[in-house]
Amino acid sequence: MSNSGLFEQVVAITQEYLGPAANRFVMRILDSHFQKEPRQLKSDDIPELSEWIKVSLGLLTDDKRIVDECEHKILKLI
Amino acid sequence: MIKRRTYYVGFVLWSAIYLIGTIIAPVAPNRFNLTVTQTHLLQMTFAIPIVLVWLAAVYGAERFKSYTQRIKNDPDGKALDGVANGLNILMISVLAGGLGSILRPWALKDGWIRTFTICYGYFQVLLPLLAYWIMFRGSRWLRVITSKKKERRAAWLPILVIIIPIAVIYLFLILHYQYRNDTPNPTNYSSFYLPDYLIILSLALPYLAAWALGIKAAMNLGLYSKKVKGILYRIGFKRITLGIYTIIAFAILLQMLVAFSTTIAQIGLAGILLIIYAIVILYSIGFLLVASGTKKLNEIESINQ
Repeated sequence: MSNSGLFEQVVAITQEYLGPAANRFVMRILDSHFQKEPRQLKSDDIPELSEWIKVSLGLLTDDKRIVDECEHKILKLI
Repeated sequence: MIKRRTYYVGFVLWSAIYLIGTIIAPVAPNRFNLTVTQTHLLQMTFAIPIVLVWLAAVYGAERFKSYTQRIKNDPDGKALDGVANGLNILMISVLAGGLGSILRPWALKDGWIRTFTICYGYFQVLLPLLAYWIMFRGSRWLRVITSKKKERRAAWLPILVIIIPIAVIYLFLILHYQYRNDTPNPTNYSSFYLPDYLIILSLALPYLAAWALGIKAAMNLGLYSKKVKGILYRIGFKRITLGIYTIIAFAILLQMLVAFSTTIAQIGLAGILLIIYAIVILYSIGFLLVASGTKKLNEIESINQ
């Protein structure tokens, strides 16, 4: 899979935790760590992306359950 | 975009003018029979907490505005920027009201107290009305983000349920305030210097409209914070909503107490100070809650930047 649909799915999952800030949050990760546009996101990028999201969410909450749950849901997209 | 420094330089200048103005203002005889030095000391016990409230207000409004500026290109950012603009105007009205009040002793001494009181009264109602209207507009856009359904007129029913008892009490207090238009003591001043119909139509009704808009804006924010997705986002947003609820509630309470001032004056100096300090602290807590919620949301926006 390589289209903005994948990006939308990642945003939809992240929205459960970050609400309207999720789109900006995922965009920033793509921009700073992958140098990619949303439509360039591929299934192969998902493991690394989920890791970045896990690390970033870990900076926002001490609740490990939330962080692991989000990572798990994103990894399911592969 | 207003720079962060502008807020704080403005605050320092504003506070300096206010404190100096309070000290150099002519002192009129007062009901507590205080000497000039005692009066200035008493004025400082009011002025310093007021400056601290201003600091909390400037901090809360500046933090919130800087957050919404960051995200204003997105739908939630555009809506929240409207709310932040309203909160900034409310903050300016709090500061301007305090600064304007230092002119009163000169107005009383030089015989233009009537003109001053009328202008000050309108100024005190129009800025909050504008602030709450802008906050309400912003909060309405937020509502659209979480619900595509058009708001029904019945949604205003809870506002009427809240505002009607407030209106009854407020109008009762105003119309039973014996010094609303003249005072037997020439060294004192009245509250309005306006005929009753103008007090009701041009001051009380705009106040009630402003409060209704403010309450509705806070309710819209509350509804948004319940409906919006995001476990972590909601933590910050709920704090902002609670802060805005607190600010609006105490703005209303403060105005009610002004209308109730003759009765309050009878409880003595210590009682008056206690009430004022309590309001001042709670008002500051409102702005600090907004700042705290904004900090949480700003953390989300700062990750990976």
